[in-house]
Amino acid sequence: MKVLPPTLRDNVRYVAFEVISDEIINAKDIKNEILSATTSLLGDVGLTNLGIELISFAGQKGLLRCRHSRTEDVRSVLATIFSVKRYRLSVRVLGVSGTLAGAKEKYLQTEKRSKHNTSFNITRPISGKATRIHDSEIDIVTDDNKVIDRSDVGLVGITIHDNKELK
Amino acid sequence: MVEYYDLCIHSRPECTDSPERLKLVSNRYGFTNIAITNHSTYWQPLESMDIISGIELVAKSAQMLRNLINIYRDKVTILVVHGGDERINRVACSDSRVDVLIHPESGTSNGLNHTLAKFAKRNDVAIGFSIDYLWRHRGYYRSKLLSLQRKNFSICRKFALKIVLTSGALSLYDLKAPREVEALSRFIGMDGTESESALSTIPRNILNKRLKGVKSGKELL
Repeated sequence: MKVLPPTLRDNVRYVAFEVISDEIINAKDIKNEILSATTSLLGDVGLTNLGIELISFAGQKGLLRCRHSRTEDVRSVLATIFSVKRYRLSVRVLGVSGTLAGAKEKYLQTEKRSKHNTSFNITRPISGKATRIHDSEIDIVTDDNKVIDRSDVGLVGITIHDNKELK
Repeated sequence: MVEYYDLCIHSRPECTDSPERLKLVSNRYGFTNIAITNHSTYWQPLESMDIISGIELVAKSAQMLRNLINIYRDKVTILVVHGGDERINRVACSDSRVDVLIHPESGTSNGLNHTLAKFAKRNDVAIGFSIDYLWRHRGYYRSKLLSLQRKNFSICRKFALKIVLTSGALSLYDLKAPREVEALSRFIGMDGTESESALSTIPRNILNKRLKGVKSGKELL
């Protein structure tokens, strides 16, 4: 079939987003979760109006296509994503662009953040085992289940400024 | 550039993440500063001076709330009252030492009426809209809370009350960027200017009022 002329095509926007999570999330899971969150918040009609489509998701960053007038709805939907496969996560919109190339260039360039896994015990400010370090941020697995239950997360987040020994 | 503030965030020892980590993440999201307002049962003084100190008072009776306000007013910058119960809402709205009455709605009632709104207006108490239920729950419970918040917002608009928007974060995953909070606040019925001032101007004015009070106190001494 012939491709529609530009005047008859839908105006689209490309929304770049970042996933902050306890574990690495795959594209299929995040796609399902976005669709589920959209139908839950806006319903099936809302999903149609949004014209939402996941274009790419690699690492922790992804790109969505939606109708140009619906970017605020997409922001709301992404903000309501709570967890994927019981792993707690948060989705942050990095920016919105009118072209695919623009979105990739502006928002999806890989950051050089020194993120690596580690394993050492820590006692202050909370006892547990440090698992990840990225810049000054440290994620800890703790045995304090009461705190974990109250916050409904898997890892405890601290910085090197919370423990003088780590500086 | 607009300065954004989130005035109701929970950290260690009540929840998992340290205040420093929450500040770091919120700065990355575009907030100028955050207030750590742990519930009064878990409250501890903050070590860092860069973060705004606060408390969320949880009381079972009106008298208990008055006592807690007397104890904590001078210890923190931002004093938030955990609403829900009608008697608690009334005491919070009637006391000018209270900065924010957060989530006055409970399971069935919106917790705010014209009388309380007049008290809140007279005593300069802001009404806090915590939107964490939008990602914590789905289905009937979420829609019920949303309808109660809409009702409260229409009362706040009618009586020109101060409104504070907050993520009510219990962890760094609950922190949402100002644009996301503004996008979600549209469901409550807020327009762009209202939600922006609820995240920037109004919190800034509350902080100015309290910090000015501390300064003048020092001068008097």
